[in-house]
Amino acid sequence: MEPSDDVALDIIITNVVAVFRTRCHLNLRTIALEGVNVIYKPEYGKVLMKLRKPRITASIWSSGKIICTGATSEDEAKQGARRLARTLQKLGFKVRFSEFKVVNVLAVCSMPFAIRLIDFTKNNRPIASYEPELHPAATYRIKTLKATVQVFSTGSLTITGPNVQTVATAVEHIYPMLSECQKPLRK
Amino acid sequence: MLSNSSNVPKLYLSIIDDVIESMRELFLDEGLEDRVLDDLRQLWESKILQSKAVDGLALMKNTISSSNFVLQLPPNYGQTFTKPAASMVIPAGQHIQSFTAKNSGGTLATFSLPPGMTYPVQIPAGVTLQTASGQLYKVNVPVMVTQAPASHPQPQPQPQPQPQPRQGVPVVEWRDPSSASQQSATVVPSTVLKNMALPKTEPFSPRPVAPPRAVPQTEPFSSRPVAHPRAVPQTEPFSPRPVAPPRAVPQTEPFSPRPVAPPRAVPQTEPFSPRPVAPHRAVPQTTEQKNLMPPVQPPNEKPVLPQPVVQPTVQENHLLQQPQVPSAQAIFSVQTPVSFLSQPPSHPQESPFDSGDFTLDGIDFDSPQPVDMSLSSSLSCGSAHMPSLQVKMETTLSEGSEFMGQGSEFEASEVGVEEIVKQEDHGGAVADMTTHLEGLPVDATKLEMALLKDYNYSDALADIIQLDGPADSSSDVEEVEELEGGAMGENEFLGMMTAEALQEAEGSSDDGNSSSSGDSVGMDEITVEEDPLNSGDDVSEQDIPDLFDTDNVIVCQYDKIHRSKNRWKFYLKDGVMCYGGKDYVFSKAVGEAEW
Repeated sequence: MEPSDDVALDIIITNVVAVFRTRCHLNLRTIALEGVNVIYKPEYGKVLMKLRKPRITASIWSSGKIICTGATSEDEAKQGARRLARTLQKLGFKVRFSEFKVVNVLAVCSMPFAIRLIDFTKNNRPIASYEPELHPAATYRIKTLKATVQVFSTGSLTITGPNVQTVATAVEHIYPMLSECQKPLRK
Repeated sequence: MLSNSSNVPKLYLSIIDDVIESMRELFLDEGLEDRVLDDLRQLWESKILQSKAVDGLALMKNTISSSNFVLQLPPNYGQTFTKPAASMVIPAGQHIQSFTAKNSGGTLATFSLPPGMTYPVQIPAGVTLQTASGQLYKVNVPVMVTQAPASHPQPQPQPQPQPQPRQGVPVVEWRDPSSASQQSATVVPSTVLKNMALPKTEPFSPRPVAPPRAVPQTEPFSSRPVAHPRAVPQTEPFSPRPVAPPRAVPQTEPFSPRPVAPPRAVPQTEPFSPRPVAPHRAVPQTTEQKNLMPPVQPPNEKPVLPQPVVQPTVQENHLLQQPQVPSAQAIFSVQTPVSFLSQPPSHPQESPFDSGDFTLDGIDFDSPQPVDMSLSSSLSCGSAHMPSLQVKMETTLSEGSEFMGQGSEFEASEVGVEEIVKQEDHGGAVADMTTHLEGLPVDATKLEMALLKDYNYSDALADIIQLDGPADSSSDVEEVEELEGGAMGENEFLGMMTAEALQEAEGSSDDGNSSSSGDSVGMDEITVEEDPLNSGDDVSEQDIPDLFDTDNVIVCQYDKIHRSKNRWKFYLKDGVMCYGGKDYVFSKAVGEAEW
C-alpha cells in the first residue's frame, strides 16, 4: 500500500476553531440585550452568539476578540466569522474583520483495521505515548506538523492540527506506522 | 385553560382597579374630575374587551344581571330558612317559592338562580353566594337580593330609571334570625345586596353597613319603595344608635333644615365616632327614637320625598362611601336624589369589593331622574357601590390575589418590561441575560466608558497618519499600517505568523517600494476582506424580522433556564401570556424548545 493510499480513508472534519478580532471594544451588555440568539455569561465575561446557517458558536469578549467554533470546514468557519462580524456591525459597533485565523481543526478517521497499541507505542517510543490507565488511546505527536493523533485500538483516529492540510498530512504520515502494527484479522 | 378563564379578567380588573385608584388622588390634585378617571377606566375595559384577549366575563358592567347566583347553603340551612321566609313579605312571589321549594331539602344545596330572574330574592342567613364568575359572598344575615335598576338585564347600556322593572316590591322585611341583634330591616327591592356581613353577635356595634335599607316594621310607609339600603335595628337596645353623621341634631330639635352636609362627625348622641359617610341630612325625629334614628330630613325642603320623615327607622346609609364602615349606621335620610347624587363622588373606596367582579362603578348615578326613581336608582347605585357595604368577599382566585399584590408590580413593569420572554427559543437567553444584567456590577459602566473611549479612540487613531516607517507611501488605507503594526507585534508576541502577516511583514521589512507593493497586496487583501463585510455576509436577514414579528408574548419571571447543546428548557413562573390573541395567566410554566 502506498502511503497515499489513504485516499480510501475518509477524513471527516468534525470541528474547526477560528479566531478573529474586531479591532474595537465591544459592549457585551449591548450585544446581550440587542443581539439575536445570544447567551450572556457575565461570570465569564463573554457573550456566546450562535449562528444557524453555518452552525457556529462564537465566544465574544469585550476586547473584541472572538472565537468561532463548530464549523465543519475552514471556509465555513470564515464565512461564519464574517457573518458574525456583520451582525456585530449591525448592532452598532465599528467592527473590522481582521486577523481571521483558523486555530484548530479536529478530524476523525477510521482505519480499516485494528491496531496493536502496545506495539505501536514501542515502535514509536518517544513520539507516541500510551497510558492505558489514563486514556485508552495512544497519543502520537508530530512535532513538525504540530499535529496530534490519538490512536485507538479499534483503528479510529482523531487528529487535531492547526489547519486541514496539516491534518491530512498527519494521517498520511501515520498511516504506514499504523499498518505495521495492525492486528491481524482474527475471523 | 377553562379554569384559567376567570382568572384573567379578574387579574385585569384588579390591575385596572389598582391603577385607577392610585391615580385618583393624582387626578384630583391636578384638578381633573373623577369622571375623567371613570371614563378612562371604561375606555380601558372596553379596549380589553375589544382585543378579545379575555373572555369578557367579568368586564361586562352588566354582569350582575347576567350572572348566576349559585347559592351554597350550609346543612343547617333548612330551619333557618323558614324563619325568615315566614316573616317575609314576598316580593316576587314565585321566585321565592321556587327557591323555597328547592330548598326544602334543608341540606346543603347549591342553587342556581335563573339568570333571567328578576330578583328580589330572599336569601337567608348563612348562605354563601357565588356568582357565575366565581366570586363568593358570604351572607350572614338574611338578605334580600334585588336587582339594581342599572344592571337590569336590558340592552340599554346605562342605568335607567326603572320604575317598573322593580317588581314593585314594596318592602321586604329582613330579619336576622341567627343574630341576637335584632336587626330587622326591610330591604328595598331595588337594591342589589351584595354582602351583608353583619356580626351576628354584636348588635350594634360596628355595623358594617347595611346594604339593605332596613325599615322597621313599624314604619308606616313601608310600602314606599325606597331604594336605600337601610338597616334598621329594631329593638330598643339600639337606642343609642350609632347614627351616622347626619344626625347631629338631637331629636328634640325641631327641623332645622339641614343642608346636606358632608359626613358629620359623630353626633353627640352617638357613642360612635367615626362615621362614614355620606352627607346625610339629619332630621330631627319626631317619633320615637328608641330604636331608630329618624330619617332626618328637612321636611319642607324636599316635598318630593313621600317617605315619612318620621319613620322611626334607622337607615344606614353607607351607600356611598365607606369602605369598611365600622359600625356606623348612618342615618340615611331619605332624601332627594339631589342629595344623594351629590354624595357619590366622595368615595375613596378601597373596599374589598372593588376587586370583585361586579363592576358597580359603571352605574351612573349622575343621570337626572325623577324623584322616586332617582332615589331608588341613586340608592341602588349607592348600594351598588359596594364599598359602603362591608362586603366580605372571598375570592377564590388564589392567583388573583397573588397578582393583586403584584398588580402594582405589573403596572410598574408594564412600561419597562423586565422580562420579555418571547416564545422563540431566543427568549431564554434574553431572560437569562437580563437578569444577569440586572446584577451586573460596575463592570457595565466601566465597559460603557471604555467603549465610548474606544469609539473615540479609533477615530482619533485613524486621523493620525504614520508618515514614517514602512508606511511611508501615501497609502489610502491607514488601517493597513495600523494593522501591520498591530499584527506584527502580536504575531511576534504569539509566535505565530499568518500568511497575511507574513506577507505584510515581508512587505514591510523590504524597502519602501517593495513594501508598498507588499502593502498594496496586503492592502488589497485586507480591504477585500474588510470592505465587503457589508454585503453577502448578512445573516439571513429575513429571519430576524419574522422571528420577532409574533404577537405571542410571555411576560413572566423565570426560575431556571437550561440549555443542552441546542435543547432549551424553561422553568417559568408568575406570568401573563398572550397567545393566539388570548391572554392567559399562570403561576408556573414549563417549556421546551429546540433551537
